[in-house]
Amino acid sequence: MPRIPSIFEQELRNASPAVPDEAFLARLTACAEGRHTELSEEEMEFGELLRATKPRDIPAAMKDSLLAAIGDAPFAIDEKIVLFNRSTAPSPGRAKTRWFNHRNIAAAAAVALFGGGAALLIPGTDGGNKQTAAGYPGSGGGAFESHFAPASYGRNLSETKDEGVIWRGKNQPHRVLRLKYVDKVTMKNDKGETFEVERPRFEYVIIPEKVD
Amino acid sequence: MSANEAPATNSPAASAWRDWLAEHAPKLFLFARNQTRTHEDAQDVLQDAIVKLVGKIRSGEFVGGQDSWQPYLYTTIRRLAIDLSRKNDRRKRREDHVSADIEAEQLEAFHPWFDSEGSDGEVRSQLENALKILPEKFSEVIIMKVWGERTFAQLGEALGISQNTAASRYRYGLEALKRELSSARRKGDLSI
Repeated sequence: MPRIPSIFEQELRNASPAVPDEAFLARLTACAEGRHTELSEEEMEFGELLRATKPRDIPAAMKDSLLAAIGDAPFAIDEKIVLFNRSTAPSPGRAKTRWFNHRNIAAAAAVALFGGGAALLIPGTDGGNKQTAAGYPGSGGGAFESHFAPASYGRNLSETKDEGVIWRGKNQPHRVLRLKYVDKVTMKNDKGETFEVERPRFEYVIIPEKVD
Repeated sequence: MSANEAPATNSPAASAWRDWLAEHAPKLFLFARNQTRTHEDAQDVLQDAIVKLVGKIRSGEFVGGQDSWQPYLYTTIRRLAIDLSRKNDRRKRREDHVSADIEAEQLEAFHPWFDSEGSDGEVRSQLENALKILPEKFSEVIIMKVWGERTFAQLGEALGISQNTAASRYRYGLEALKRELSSARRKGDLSI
């Protein structure tokens, strides 16, 4: 049953909301049209003038301290090339990997595309999950399959091999490296039981070689 | 370490990190300065953020390439600065830190935000003061946009706001900065 509005409510309704000012309306319009993030020439010029004043560098002692803490971490130049500390190269392969041992030049390795490996090893659907569990020797049927889920994923560079130098266009020599990775997925069920799947994978990296 | 092993600081990775720091650390540090109260806090926050990033890279947890490092670092610096500020506030409630704050402010004068190369001292000083006066929500956007060279979309992501809000704050901030600097410009002290 509709209620009779009080006089106060009627007075409130009679009060019209204030109209937004021109600048605010222009801003709303620009947002709606996707232009609000476009800067005017004047704004860009002022930004450039500000940018001419450079931020101060971090103190030298702090830089040294940071480098000591992070200098041995892999440095990704791009998605496929990673520089890493020579001393962290896998020791079993060192005797064979001439490239890593001669001169103090940058060690480079291809970074395995995580997604690719994960997509192959970690099933994204229930069907795929069952396939992996069923493929595990000793898996015990439906209950086993349905409760195992990927718990962790790891990738190790287990071996590197220098395949020598090839010559490509413009007489530029390139060194070929063969990298062996072992991708490992750990599956875990509700009871805490785990099993691991390992799969070796090879990648070849071609790097421009310096000529003395 | 055996004779064959290069020290970590001479490794290709260390050299690359050194170059990366030379290019990016100043602007990240400026942002850290803006987010914290003191020079020392800014150092701690920046160092923690970089060490966190590297920890994630080492463990393979970090998703994305080098392009994703800076967005991660801006977000982490901001989060760490907020955490630190809360800790400091709690401590301040327990202790009388008035004299320590005054001392910290005096020490700040010895740690200017901007480099002495490329601009005169008056410009640096006026700009630093103007940024300090600005409300943080404007100054952080200006610092990330102007010196961090982030897009509005990246700003929005790092600050948890829409890119339109980031653009609005940037414009407000620029206007406010212009006003702050205008008197100095009128006097001819500033070239900006």
